[in-house]
Amino acid sequence: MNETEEDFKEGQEPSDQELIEAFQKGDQTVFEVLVSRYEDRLFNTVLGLVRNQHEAEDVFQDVLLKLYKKLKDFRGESKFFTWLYRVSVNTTWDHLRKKKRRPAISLDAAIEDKKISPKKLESPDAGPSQLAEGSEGKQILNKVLGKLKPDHRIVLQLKEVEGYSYQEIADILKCSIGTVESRLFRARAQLKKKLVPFMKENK
Amino acid sequence: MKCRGVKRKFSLKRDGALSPEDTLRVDHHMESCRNCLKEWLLFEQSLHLLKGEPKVKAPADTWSRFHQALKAAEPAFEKERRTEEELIPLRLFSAAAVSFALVMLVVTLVIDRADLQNLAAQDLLNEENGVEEVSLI
Repeated sequence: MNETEEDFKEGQEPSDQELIEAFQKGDQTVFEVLVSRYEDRLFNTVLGLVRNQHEAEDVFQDVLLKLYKKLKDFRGESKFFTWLYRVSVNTTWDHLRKKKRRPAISLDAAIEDKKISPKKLESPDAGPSQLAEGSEGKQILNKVLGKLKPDHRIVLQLKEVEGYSYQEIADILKCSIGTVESRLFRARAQLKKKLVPFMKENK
Repeated sequence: MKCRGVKRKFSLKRDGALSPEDTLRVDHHMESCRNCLKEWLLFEQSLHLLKGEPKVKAPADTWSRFHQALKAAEPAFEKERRTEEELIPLRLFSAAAVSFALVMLVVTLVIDRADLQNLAAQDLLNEENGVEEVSLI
């Protein structure tokens, strides 16, 4: 039994730092213990960005492999969770950019094909939360988000869904607070612009 | 404050990052401008939609899939690691070779310069002593 395994048997939950050190010393079995502490939050972020369960599961596997590969180089210059997020967001970002180069069904085409119908939203009772909960509303939201640039989608996810501060987003994306502010401004404006045609009739 | 300026402040207003003066100006403007108020409500509503997203758990087979994927990727990781290790002596050798070449270049230049200086000094000495250059042919 190696030194780190003995340490873990003391009955106390090992800290992230202890697990990272153990991994870097060669005990690769601790990887699952360490990352599973954050897996739900990370998966929700990936899913929020990718907007498709099966695709998110595949991207999440890529994220885990990347984390596994990069963890030996983690030097603790940033918080572990910030680092985890950065790797996850960057991996998803790469996936989204690659995907953008591939042809996809456009929102307009989907509406024309009657895959999405704005009719339901024209009801005076259809408030914003009903739109989000309804499957059609969710489909619209997915398509609209899919039309946003990946960097806009990422700041919206981190700010609106995860609730991170400007500083935390700047740390995750390795950019300035000013960049976060301006990216968020443009992302929100784009989201509103693309959603308004479906919401106007509710007013 | 004009409508355009007010709309540009929406993002910061939502995050509570506007100064108290700007907050007052924006609120005051929206009291009298129906269009901006409507835009603000649409802005808020569009973002509210994102908040309604339910939280989900990571798939139950996440780790079994991961271990399978890792097993498949391990040879590639190992190869990468080995290539990195193999590249270290090669990089050291390249650095040493470049350093050696640079030193040799400097030494050659210094020697050439010294030779030229010697020849010039010899010519000067010969001139002073009245010795004429004799052709060997």
